[in-house]
Amino acid sequence: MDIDEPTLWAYLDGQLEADADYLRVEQALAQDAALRRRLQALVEQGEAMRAAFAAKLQEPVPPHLVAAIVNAPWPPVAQQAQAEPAPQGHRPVSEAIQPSPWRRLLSHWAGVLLGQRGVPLGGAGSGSAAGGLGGAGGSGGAGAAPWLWQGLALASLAALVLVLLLWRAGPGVQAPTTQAHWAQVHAPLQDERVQVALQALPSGQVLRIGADTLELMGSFERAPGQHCRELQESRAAAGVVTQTLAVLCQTPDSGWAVAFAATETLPEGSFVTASGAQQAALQDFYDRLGAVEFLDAADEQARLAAGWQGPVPRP
Amino acid sequence: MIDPRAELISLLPRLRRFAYGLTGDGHQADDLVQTGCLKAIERWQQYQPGTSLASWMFRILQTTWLDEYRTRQRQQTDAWEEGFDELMGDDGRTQLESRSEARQVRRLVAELPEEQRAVLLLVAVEGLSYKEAASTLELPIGTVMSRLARARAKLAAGLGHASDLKGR
Repeated sequence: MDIDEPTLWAYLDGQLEADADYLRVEQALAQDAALRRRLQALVEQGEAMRAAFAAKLQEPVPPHLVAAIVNAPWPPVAQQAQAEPAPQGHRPVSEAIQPSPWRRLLSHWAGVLLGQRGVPLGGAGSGSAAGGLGGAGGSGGAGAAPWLWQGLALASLAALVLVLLLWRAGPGVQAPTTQAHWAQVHAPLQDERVQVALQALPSGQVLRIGADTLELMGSFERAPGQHCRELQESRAAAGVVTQTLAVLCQTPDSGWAVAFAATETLPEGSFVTASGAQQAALQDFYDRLGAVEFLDAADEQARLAAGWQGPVPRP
Repeated sequence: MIDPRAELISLLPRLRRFAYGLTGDGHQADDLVQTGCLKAIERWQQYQPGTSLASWMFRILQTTWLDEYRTRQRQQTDAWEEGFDELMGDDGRTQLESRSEARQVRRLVAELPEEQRAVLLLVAVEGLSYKEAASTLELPIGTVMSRLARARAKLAAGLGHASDLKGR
């Protein structure tokens, strides 16, 4: 029986037409050691091919690329017949690379914010109204055996780390700051992807990079001109998922610094949403702020388009 | 009309990988991805909702590469070497031998004819089915399969597995 190379590949690729074709290949493989060696060579070649490009998927995406997309005119010029004029006309790429205020900000972050300590923020407490996010509590380890889950739940409780940064303006706010854990919590939130997302992503949209996800949950104005954004991040590494619920606020130098963060580590593959404990800590944080009023989508979009700075367009 | 920008940002790692396979150069790949994404946003009304955005983007990257970039590459014969260093430089876990194999694979991919390279990348790296690759590149499925077979045979020959192989 002769099985040619394309058929063997199609077998590996799962691209054979019918079950009978798989059966035919499997029967041939069972009888023919030489064919098994040929198949093994193809397996190795396929792995070599994937491995040769795998590193590219893990690399951080350059912020300028994200910025170029965020800054692209939307809706596109050609499509906005009766819409308002585009904030900027379409430009060729070479020209689009010219620094915009936005892009200057990005390079500013890239240079300054990495490794920067959390800066306690100035400014008075913000206006009125009640705040807080709904958000489902609870985390689960679907599929895990009960005994395993119980053990892991205990472990993750033990690993629950709450970090509250002192708010200079908040009278009497004596937030516990756990320095030992602070660096762990703080560093990932200061990385460029998060900084870019804070600047660019509307709330409710999820940024996926590899196995990691980042979602902006909402935005509010803490003091006139000073914005804060709530985010939920999960990173998978070394068999565990680190789930962070955080609030970052603008610093006087136009960066974003961590004002609140609660992290929890869970076994890999867990259903990752902020736990009840994290939500409770966040609510406590909001309560200390006084009152938090989340921006509606249109208001947020306007501020996002304005780079979260300058005169805020009021509806 | 739905704003595609967030979804495009989510796709960036894969788009960069595909573009890197096409161009063989990290900087040129990012430039290509940027051009492709801006094109996609500009022509968003041509995207058919419900179809794979990744496939649509791969198609845009590939045609942009063929139409606008390929001629430039001829002047950049050293680009591959730089690309290797850039890609592999900070990956301390990678063992030397697999590094050199990865390098060899990328060199062989770079030496493939354009039309074979795109098919091979889509199927062998991006994991598209033959049918998806065919619709992405707007080719008959038979053409995809024959290009794929030729590309893989060349790769096998280059990697020294050729002695085991027969047929194409």
